[in-house]
Amino acid sequence: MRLLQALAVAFAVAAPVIGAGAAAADVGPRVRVAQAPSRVDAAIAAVARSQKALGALATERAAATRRYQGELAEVDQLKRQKASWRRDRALRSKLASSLETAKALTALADRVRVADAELTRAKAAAVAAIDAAMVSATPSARAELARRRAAYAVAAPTKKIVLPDDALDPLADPEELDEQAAALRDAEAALTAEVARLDRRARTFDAAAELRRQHERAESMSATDDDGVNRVAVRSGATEAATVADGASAPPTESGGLTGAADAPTGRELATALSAVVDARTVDVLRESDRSADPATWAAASRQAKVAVAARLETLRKRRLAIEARARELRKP
Amino acid sequence: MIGRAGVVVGVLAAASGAAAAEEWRGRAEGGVEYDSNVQRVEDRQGPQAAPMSRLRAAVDVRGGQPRRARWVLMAAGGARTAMAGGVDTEDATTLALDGAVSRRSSDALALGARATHYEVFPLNAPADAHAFASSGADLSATLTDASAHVATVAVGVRRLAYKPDPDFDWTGATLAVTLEQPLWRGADARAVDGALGYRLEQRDYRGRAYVNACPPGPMPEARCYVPGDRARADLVHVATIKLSYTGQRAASLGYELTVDDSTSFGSSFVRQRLSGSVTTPLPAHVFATLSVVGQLDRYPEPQVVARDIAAQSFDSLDGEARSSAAVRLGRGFGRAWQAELRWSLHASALGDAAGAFRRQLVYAGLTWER
Repeated sequence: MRLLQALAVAFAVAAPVIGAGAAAADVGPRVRVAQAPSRVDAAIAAVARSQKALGALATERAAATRRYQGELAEVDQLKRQKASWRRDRALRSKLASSLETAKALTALADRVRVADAELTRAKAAAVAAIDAAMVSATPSARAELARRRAAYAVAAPTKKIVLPDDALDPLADPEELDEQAAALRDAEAALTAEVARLDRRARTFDAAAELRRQHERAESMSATDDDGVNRVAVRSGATEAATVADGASAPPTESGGLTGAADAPTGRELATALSAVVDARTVDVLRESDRSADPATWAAASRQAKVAVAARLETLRKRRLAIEARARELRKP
Repeated sequence: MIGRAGVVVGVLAAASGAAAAEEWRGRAEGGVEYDSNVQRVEDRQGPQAAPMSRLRAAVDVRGGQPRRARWVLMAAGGARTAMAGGVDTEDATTLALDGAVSRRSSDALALGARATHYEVFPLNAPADAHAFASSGADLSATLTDASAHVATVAVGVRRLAYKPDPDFDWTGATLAVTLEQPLWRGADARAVDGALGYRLEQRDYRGRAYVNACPPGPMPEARCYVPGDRARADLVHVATIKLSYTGQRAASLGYELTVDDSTSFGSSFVRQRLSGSVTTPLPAHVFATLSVVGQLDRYPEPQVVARDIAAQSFDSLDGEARSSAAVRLGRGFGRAWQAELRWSLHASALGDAAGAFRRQLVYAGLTWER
């Protein structure tokens, strides 16, 4: 939309100038002035181009995958048939074509990787351009730029957090204990960042849930105004049934749909990242939250994970302090 | 009647406790409402205004295994009565019961069953035009795929009892299909969701279908509508589409097309309903919602506007072409309380001079929720 606005403005400015230039061509050369797109607009356009290219490749790869699976199924079917000259010939042909498709798929996967990297680069450039533009932007423009930045900010990869051994080895020497304490300190820093991130996530989803709750309440009040026979119909397959299904709603997808969003890992990704940090039940709650479309569910899962991570952080801190105390004790003359 | 609803809620709460419910939620709300047209009559019939009190309480309990069978029971009771003025024929209580169970067969498939009942009990007028009971039961299958599409198919039966006139009672089979799809997910919980729905109801009425007793050609008069030999039967199709956005604001836009194909002369209609609403946060933690509904009805056959001729009712339960606009302000206090202020206007379609209708509601109330 912003690209279209930029193009429209550029066109509106350029058109009369170009027209005037053409009309005045017989009286000598004139300088034509068209509004050049800003750095932000150019960066946004680059992101859009990269997204489009990636989307096209994804579609192509999906089609090739479907074709490949079909060919494999045919090969499988041929293998189950009684051996014959005709079957062998057909099998060879199918195997050859499936091999070609597999090669094409490999090549496509490489192209997708390149396009994905290109998109990441374009987003990073867009974020840099937005940061530069924010310095001189008006308050209203700054809000829009901030929204853009949030959409383009490349999230830190959600990797599995692996915690170091926190058990105190009574036979370890002070140097080994120092190393262990340093590793624990790094882990504490990672967990502290994770607690802050989960807290932000919970608060964001809480705000969205409250907004949606208010919206739905207003809609339900409208429904009860007209309490006629046809207005209070018992509906088949209504929302309550979907709620009880506890899995009927669509999960939030980071990159699904029209455009992806950064800095919003799904519950499943968080579950993977925290699987070695929190208990199995919390991992399950995080994973299951993806199956709900309700921000309140996402917020509750984030809060539960935050509490679990904070508890683990506290345990680690205590163990580290004990290890450091032991190291000091060993160094005492 | 309030006592009856309270007993039901209490029994349900006790039963849920015994059944080791994992979770329960309660909600109570009460307020005062100014209604400019309490009886919901057309302008020519002289609408009467009155202050009304509105109370409602609901409790739902749920339990089961998260990845296997889940169940939900809900009970609600409400009352709306005139606080002053000469209109007491609209005083009524309501009762709603809803029970559902669902069992996941796999990650992709959940099977469910659901039973519902909603009833309006008039307090002072046995033949209140808005008194009815609606019950239904259905079985459903919900499919979810890896691309986050959700499809629900439900089949069941539904029964409606219209208390003032049993001729309008009907029973029939229902089929409902809904498709839900998250269209976009953004940062900061921004999202766009889409939903498509289709519902088919076969309604077999207790009363007989009207037939046109006049020769074809001129516009039929009231005397042309006579009960025929066969019972009335309708086939109702309802198609809906809805888009919802959540971000800095919440918004939704919906369209509903209803086609009632009736065997009763003059009862078929096509209804189009467009609705939109936007909720935005305001300073001081206030949320404002603006809602607009536009409705247009089309009757393929002539409609009778006279009523109670020769003791025959020509009312159509579905014949209200009314649009509305509403503004609601809500603000929470603490974790459980919320204050609400709401104004709404309901009016007949533009150009409908014969059946001009207007109704305004102003409501102020409190809600408690756990």
